[in-house]
Amino acid sequence: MGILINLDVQLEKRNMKSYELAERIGITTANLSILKTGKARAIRFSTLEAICKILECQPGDILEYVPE
Amino acid sequence: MLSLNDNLIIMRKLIVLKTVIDFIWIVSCIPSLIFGFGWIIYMFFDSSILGIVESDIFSSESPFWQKQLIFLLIYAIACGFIYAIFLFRKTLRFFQKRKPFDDYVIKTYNLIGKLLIVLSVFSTALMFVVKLIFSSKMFLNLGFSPYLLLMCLGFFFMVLSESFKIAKHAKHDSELTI
Repeated sequence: MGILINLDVQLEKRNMKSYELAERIGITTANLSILKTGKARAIRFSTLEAICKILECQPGDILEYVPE
Repeated sequence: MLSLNDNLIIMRKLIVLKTVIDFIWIVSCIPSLIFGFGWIIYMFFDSSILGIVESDIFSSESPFWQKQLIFLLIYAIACGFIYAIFLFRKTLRFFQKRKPFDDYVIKTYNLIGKLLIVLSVFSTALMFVVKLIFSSKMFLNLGFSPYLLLMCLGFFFMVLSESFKIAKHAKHDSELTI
């Protein structure tokens, strides 16, 4: 898929751990891992909103389109 | 998400279905298989036993070898149906384990569908040929016949298999939606 997830970069910038983000969003660490590794097929607006709210960023900071 | 009550209703229906299929399997399929096999073997050793059989398929004057051949073919068709019931019975276990979209179920439903279609076509052809040879009648039941219904059931199983394949894909997508 041509969509890259830059969640790792955003987490590193804020010096935040994955489990901490998962806990604050209200999803499991397993699901966050699926999202981080790019195995997810889709992301809910509510999840994206929660991530952006906690990381204080824009959706474009997390998702990036790379032509295949 | 299904509620606990919905799950209980589904499970109850599944238990009833499994019980009925088990009943058919024990009371009808296994004895038919055993006695049918015994009959097939015995009729080749003592063909006079075929004299006691009266049927509208063939006349009592028909030669023994023809009767033997017909019985052999009928037994082969019956074995096919019993195998289809055996496969269906096996898939019900996956439903009990809450794995209805398992690959085995999808493949087996497709196989059952193909088997039923082949058996219905074969049965129709057999009955047509037998009536033509023994009764000199051209008879083909295209109305409300069990063969046509069986063929429909076969296609239904194949459609069900395809539907399960789509459902499995949708379930997978849903699981990977974060």
